[in-house]
Amino acid sequence: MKTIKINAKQFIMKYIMYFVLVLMCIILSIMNENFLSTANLMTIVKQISIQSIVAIGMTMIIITGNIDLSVGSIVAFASVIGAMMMRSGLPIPVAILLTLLGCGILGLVSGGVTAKLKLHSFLVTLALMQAFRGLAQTLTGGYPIAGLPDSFGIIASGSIGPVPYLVIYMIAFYAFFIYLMKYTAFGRSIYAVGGNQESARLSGINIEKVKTLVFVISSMLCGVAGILLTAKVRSGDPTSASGWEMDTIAGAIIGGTSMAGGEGGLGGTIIGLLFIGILSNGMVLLGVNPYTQTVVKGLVIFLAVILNSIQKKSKE
Amino acid sequence: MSDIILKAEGITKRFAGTTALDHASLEVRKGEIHALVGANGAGKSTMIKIIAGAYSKDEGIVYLDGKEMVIKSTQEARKLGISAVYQEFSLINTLTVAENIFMGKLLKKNMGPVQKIDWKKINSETKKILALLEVDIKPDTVVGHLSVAQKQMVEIAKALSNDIKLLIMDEPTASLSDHEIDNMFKVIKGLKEKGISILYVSHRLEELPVICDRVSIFRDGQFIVTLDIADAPKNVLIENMVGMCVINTEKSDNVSDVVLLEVKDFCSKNKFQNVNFKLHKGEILGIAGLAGAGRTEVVRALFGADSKDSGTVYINGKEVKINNPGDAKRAGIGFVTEDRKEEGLILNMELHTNIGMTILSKLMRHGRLNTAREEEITNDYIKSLSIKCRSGRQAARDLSGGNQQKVVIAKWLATQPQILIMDEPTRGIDVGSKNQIYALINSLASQGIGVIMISSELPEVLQVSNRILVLAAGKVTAELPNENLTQEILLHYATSQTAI
Repeated sequence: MKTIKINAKQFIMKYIMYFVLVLMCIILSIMNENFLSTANLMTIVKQISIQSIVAIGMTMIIITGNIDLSVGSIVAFASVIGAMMMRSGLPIPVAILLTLLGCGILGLVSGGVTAKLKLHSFLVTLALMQAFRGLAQTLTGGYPIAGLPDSFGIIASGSIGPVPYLVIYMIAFYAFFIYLMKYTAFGRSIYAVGGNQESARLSGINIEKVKTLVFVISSMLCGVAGILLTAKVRSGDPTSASGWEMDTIAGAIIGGTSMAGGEGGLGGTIIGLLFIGILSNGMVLLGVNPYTQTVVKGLVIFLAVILNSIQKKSKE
Repeated sequence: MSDIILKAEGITKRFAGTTALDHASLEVRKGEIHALVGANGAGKSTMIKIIAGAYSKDEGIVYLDGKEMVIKSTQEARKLGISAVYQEFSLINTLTVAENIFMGKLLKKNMGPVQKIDWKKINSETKKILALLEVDIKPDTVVGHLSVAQKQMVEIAKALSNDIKLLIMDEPTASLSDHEIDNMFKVIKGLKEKGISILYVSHRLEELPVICDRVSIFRDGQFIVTLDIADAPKNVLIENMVGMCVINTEKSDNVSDVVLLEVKDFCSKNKFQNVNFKLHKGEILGIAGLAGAGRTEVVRALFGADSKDSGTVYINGKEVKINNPGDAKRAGIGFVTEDRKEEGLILNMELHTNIGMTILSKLMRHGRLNTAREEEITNDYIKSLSIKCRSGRQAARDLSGGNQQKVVIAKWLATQPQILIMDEPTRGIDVGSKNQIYALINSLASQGIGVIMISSELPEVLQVSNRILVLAAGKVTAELPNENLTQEILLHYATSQTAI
C-alpha cells in the first residue's frame, strides 16, 4: 500500500503544472462562458505563437546551462532589416533568407564568444542585448518602417479554416525541435553539456560547437519570429519584442526547465507559455485592471517557480 | 549502560523504492574510536547522515547519553554535540580559515547600541582550536590556498568549535598521503584522550587496527556484527562485509608482442618532461608514482583532455594527432577518469543516457537516435558488469560509488576501445567491487585491449599490472616488468631523481 501512495504523490508532483493549468481553465470557464469558445482559445494560442518560437531557442540555451538576454533585440533587428530589404525591392523570399542569415551571424557572435572564451553568457548577452537593440534603432533612425506588401502580410494573417497560420507554424516548429532534442545526437549533446560540461567534454562531445550552434539556432528562430511579427503588423519596428527575453525565460522555467542546465524540455515550455497566456486572457475577460494584471502575473510566475523547486526536491 | 554515548535502534530509511537501511542498529561507547565498515551501498553513509541530522529516519530511535534524540537538522545535532566531517568538504574556498570555522556563529561584541563582529576574539579562538590539533595553519589564510590535508584539519577544527561529544568522520584518510595519515591519526587519538567519541567510516581496512577500538559491519542496509578490533583481522572483516569469500584474481598473462600504442617525447612545461612508453596488445601497464608525479597529467594529455607542448602518439605504428577527447575516442582510446562524479558521469541523468553519451553518433540511424539500441547496450552492461541498480532508467546519482564506477567503465567499453586508460579505478570503492574491477581489467586484457592503469595504491599496481612505469616529478624513473617487484622497489623509483 505504501508504495502506491508514494507513486501517486510523485505522479501528482510530476504533472502538477498540468493540474494547475486545467484547474485554471475550469475556474475561468465557470466565471466566463466565452472563455472556452473556439475563437477565444485560438486567440490565446495565436497570441503566444510568435513568442513561443523564440522560447524554443531560449529553452535550448538554458538547457546548456547558459542564458540569452539578447533575444528580444534580435527579433527587433530581424524585423527592421527584413522590412528594409523588402522596401528596397528585394523579393520577399530573398529578404527572409538574408534576414535569417543576418540573425545567425549575431548568434555566432554571442555563442562563439561565450564558448571560445569561456565567458558567462549572461554578461556577453547583456552587452549584446544593448548593442543589437541600438543597431536596430540606428538603422531606422528610431522610426518604424511601414508600407510593406500585402502578399507579405498574409504569411502571418492567413489561416486554414479556424486555424491561423501562426498556430500552424508554432506546432510545426515545436514538433521539429522536440524531435531534435529527444531523438538526435545533437539534442542529447545539448543536455549533456548542461548536465555536466566536463563529463561531456571528456566523453568526446565538442562542447564549443554545441554551445555555439545552439546560440546560432536560437538567433535564427528570433529571425523567424521577427519576420512573423513584421508581417503581422505590416511594419518593421525597432522597439518591438522588448522584454521578450524575460517572458521566454519565465515560460521555460515555469515549464520545468532548470536554470542550472541539463534538465527540462520544450513540452514544458509550451505549457509554461500557455499558462501565462491563459492567465492574461482570463484577466482581460474578467475585466481586471491592467496594472493589477501585471501584479497577478508576476506573483503567479513567482509561485510557479517556488512550486517547481518543491517538485525538484520531491524528486530527489 | 552509562558508558554508551550513542545508541541507534531499528533504524530504517527508504529512498524512492529502495531500502537503504533496514532496522539497523549501532552502539558507540564513550571515548572510543568506533569504525563503521561495509561495502558500497551497505548503508554506512545513510546511517551517519541520520545520526548527524542530515537525513530524517523513517523508523527507529537514536539515543544520545541514554536520552532519545529528536533532531530535524544538522544544526540541532551540532547543538547536542554531534558533528560530522564528510568526504566532500563543506568549506567555502574564498573565505578564511577563521571565517569558515565560525560560520553562522560569528562572535560579536557590543559597540554602544550596535553589535560588531569580534574578529580579534574569533582569530584567537581559531588559533586555540588549531593549536589543539597541533597544526600550523594561520586563521587568516584563505581556505582555497590550503592542501587537502590542511582543509581536512580545518573541517575537524570546525567540528571542534562546538561543544562536541561525538565526531563522525567519513573516509578521513581517503585523499591523504602516508605522512598526512600518520598526522591525522595523532589528531584523532588526541581527541579520544579528551573524551570525545569518534565514529570512523573507512574503506581502508588496513588502518583500522592502528586507530580503532571496535568495529561495526553493515551489509545491504543491515547491521551484521560489532567486534573488538583485536578479533577482527582483515579477512574476517571482508567475509562479513561481502557475505562470501573473496576471490583474489590472478593477473592476465597473454600479452602479445604487437605494440598497440607508443607515446614519444611527451612534454608539458611544468607537468612532465620527455615521457616515452609503449603499450602492447593485451597488456596491463601500471603507472605508479607519488601524488604530484604527473601520472594523471600524462594520460590526460595522451587523451587530448589537456594540451601538451610536444610529443607524438603512434597507434598500431601509425602517427595519430590527438588534440581533443573526440580525436582520442575516434583513435580507439577510452578514459575512465579519476573523479567519476565531476568528470565521468552526469549524475542527474539516467544510466542509459550516461552510457550512450560516448556513442551518440553511432546510435544515430536515419536521422533518429536509436534509443532502443541504447537501452539494450545498457542492459547488457548492467548484466555483464553486474551493476547493482533498479534499471537502466535509474539516475546515476542513486548508485553507490562502486556501481557508478562500473557505469563509467561501461560507457567507455561501449565505444569498443583498443586502449583503455583507467585513472584510480578503485578509489573510494569497497573490497567486493574492487575485486570485480580487477577481474574485469583482466578479462579486457585477455580480449586484446591494452589497459593503462594509474593507481596510488602500490599493492594494487603490483597485483594487476604486467609492466609498471614509475613516474617521479614529471619524469619516467623506471619501466619494470612485474616480476619479483615489491612496494619498496617501486617506492625507491618513485622518490628517485634520475630519469631513465
